[in-house]
Amino acid sequence: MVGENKQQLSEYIDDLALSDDMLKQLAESGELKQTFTHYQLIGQAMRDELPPQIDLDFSAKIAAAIELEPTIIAPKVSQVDNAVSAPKQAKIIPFISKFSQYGIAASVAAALVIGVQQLNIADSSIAASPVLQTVPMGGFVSPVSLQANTQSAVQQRNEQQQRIERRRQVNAYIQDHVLQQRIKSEVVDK
Amino acid sequence: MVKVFLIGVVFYTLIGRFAYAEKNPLQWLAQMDLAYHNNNFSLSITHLQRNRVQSFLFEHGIVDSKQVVYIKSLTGPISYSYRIDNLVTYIDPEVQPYSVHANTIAVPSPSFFINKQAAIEKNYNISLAGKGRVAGRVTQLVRLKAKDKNRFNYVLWLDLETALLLRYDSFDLQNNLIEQMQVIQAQWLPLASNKLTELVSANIPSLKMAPAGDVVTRWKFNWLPQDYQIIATDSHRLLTTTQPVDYLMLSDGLSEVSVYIARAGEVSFPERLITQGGTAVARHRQGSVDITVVGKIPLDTATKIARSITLK
Repeated sequence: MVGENKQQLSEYIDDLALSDDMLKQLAESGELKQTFTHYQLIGQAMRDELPPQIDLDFSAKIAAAIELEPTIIAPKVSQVDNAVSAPKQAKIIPFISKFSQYGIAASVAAALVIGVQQLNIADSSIAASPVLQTVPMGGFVSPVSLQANTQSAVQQRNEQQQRIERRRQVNAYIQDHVLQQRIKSEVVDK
Repeated sequence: MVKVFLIGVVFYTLIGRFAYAEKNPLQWLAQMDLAYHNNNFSLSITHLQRNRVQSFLFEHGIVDSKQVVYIKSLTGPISYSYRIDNLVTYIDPEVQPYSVHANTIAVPSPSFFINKQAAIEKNYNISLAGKGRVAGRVTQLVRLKAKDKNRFNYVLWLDLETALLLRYDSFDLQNNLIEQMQVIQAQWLPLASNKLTELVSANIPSLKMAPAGDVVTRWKFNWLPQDYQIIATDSHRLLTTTQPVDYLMLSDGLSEVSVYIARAGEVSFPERLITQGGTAVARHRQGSVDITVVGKIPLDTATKIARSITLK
């Protein structure tokens, strides 16, 4: 019995659920309490979380301290019905509310559309502008070291921000298109 | 005399065989549907876009007289989807699984042209175009040439023996390859694979999406490409930018086009874009609204659609 309990206890410490019965037993059985303390200690040692000085009987001290506390008699709150959680399966998500977001599917398309970061701009007037023009037209190259915060640098930064914003917008549309293709496809009879 | 008779018999059988093997393009498409619906098979697939290659495992089978399809990505983040009759479930990393009523999974696969023969016939000239070899199998090429300049062209590679679609290429109007789905290994199975049987009995919990409602919209198009119709409408917010939009989905039965109407913003992206995957994005500002059209259609067509929309 105790062996089995110990196993459950170990599972609990490993973040698994503990039944109500088990909790009750743990509260009552001194041996189990001790085991619990030891298991926690082992876990902490393994994770290297132990303080330099170990107080082996911490829980006992707390228990004693609680005993000494004056008892406060509070009015018993009637059980609020928040224990009734929604069923986990087969929720129906109606798309009725105007401008609602597709909550769950929010990151769906993100994974799918990684590839659209780079866009081919089809507009020839944009594509035709020279990209690697390093020397100003009819001018000369000015020293770079003093250019830190000139107007053109600020302008450049603004342009870059705009570019990022534009890309973000285009991606948002393409992602949504991919998602819509999934959720709006009709059921055609075979 | 006997010799002549024998030659005659041989000749007759040869002709007979030849006539039997020669199907017309429509018969090929019809048989492609049957080959898909009635068989159990497992395929390894590559999907190529301009400069991106993905690969998938694709399985199809009949379990308890239910049609089951399973597609798993073999590259990048682990994601898979499956269809049991008319319920498609998508499972992606970091997202709760969700299901949609649909009779096809929106991933490039041999199912892309299935059940679409009517739509293909209406808008494409269909012709046979020689033989080829895919996944170690001899194939019949079927060319789908669009009747107008509002959609892309395709070449289908059908297995000569079973007529299963083993490869398709899609080309834009300048004949550049846009995408290619190709089976690299095909295996026909006597029974559905274990994975498919598992899926039918597993019943993985997922969110079920309500089917899209009726087509109701305050927008109308003064021009649409031949046979394109509004198949769905709603209002929602875009995922990442949370921008509210009026949404319309158009389809010619083969490819879908999304139309978005949004309040004009300060930052506007270029009016004409083509992504790496061949998706056209056209934008048109009309007074205080921006109209955005997204889909795998020629860019000029997308632009024309964007310009043709008005309030009812």
